[in-house]
Amino acid sequence: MSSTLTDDLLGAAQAGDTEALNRIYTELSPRILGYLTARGSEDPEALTQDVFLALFSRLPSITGGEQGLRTFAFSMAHARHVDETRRRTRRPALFSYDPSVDHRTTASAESSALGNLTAEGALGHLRSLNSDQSDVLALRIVADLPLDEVARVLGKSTGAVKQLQRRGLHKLKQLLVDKDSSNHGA
Amino acid sequence: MVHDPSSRATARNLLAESDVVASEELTVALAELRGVGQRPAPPISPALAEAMRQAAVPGDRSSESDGNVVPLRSRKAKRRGAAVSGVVVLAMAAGMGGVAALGPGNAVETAIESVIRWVAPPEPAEPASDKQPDPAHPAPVPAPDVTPVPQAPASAPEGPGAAEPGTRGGEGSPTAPEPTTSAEPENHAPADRKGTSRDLPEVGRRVVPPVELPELPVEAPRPVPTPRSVLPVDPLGLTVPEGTPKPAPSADPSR
Repeated sequence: MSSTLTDDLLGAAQAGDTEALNRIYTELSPRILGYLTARGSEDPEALTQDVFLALFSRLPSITGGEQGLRTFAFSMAHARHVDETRRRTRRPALFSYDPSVDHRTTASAESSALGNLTAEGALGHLRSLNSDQSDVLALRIVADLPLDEVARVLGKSTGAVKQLQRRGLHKLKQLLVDKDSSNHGA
Repeated sequence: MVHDPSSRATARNLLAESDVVASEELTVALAELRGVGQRPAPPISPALAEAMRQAAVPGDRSSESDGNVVPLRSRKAKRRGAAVSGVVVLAMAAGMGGVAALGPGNAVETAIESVIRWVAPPEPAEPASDKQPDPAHPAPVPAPDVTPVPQAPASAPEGPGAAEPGTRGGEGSPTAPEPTTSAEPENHAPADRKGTSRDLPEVGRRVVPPVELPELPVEAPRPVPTPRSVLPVDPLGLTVPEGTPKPAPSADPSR
């Protein structure tokens, strides 16, 4: 895990250093955006901006150095994603279908035959896991957080996170094997 | 698609950490997922840029927060409330001290006694009628309210119904009243039951002479005229001649 976040950088940002704020944003925003994308957020970029709006407004109260800053940022991203999921469940969005604005395409037969494992394909497999497993794998792989930080973000014990990670990886492997066998069968 | 070697190494470490046998497909998929979090940072929105500018200037941030959030009680009001509370407490302390200094005796003991008197339940009153008297020590009888009564005339009629005071009435005297006093009866009732009224002096007793009732003439009862004898005639001829045997009353009146 290569991170340029340091305690000094956090201290400079808390003191009001604009450059430090920009570096924090540059360092954390891609992983937060990736986490929200992996979890299937409708508008991950807007949610990322919301996370940083809240993060910068509470920056003086953050403790724990760069680890505390990272945990706080991903905790907020996780909370925003949960809020969005609940809101979507309560009020499902209804759209009228207009063929002229439907730009969706299907994969070609060649791509299907080759079993192209693009990022979208991997994300699709990740989203087919249950919510807890998907959260753990997204935070471990996409956000590149260690086990204890993932446990703090999700409010679970480290042992529980380990179990979820192991089951999620087994399930992911099984999904890939099933897909490979179906491609060979076709 | 070529992945970063570090991403593949990280994926393999993750699989080894979870005791999952690594496969090429799984490693590639995990490296792809890791690449999702290594995309370039999204552009900063205007709102976020303004927030960063506010965060960079602590004075602006504090002024903004103070301008947006209106506290329910201002600091001035809080200080005023604290000052008023302090003045009230001081005034109460001074008042209590003055009362304690001017009060007679030990004010603390007086206050404690008054509290105990107020809190302690009153002593239960003993019912006079339920308690059996001690024969050795009879209960004191209150002195009756004596009203002077003129002496009975010496020429009171003496007859067979006359009786001495304090005794049963004689023969032929249906109402031989007991000698009574002018004292209230409820005051004497328990005393009479205890038999202590006879120990009272005769001074307060009022002697009432027996009353002799005059004899009234008694007349023999007159026969009440019946309607049959009152009616002069029997127009329907329903009169039953005397001597005719009456039918025996039936047991069942309905027959």
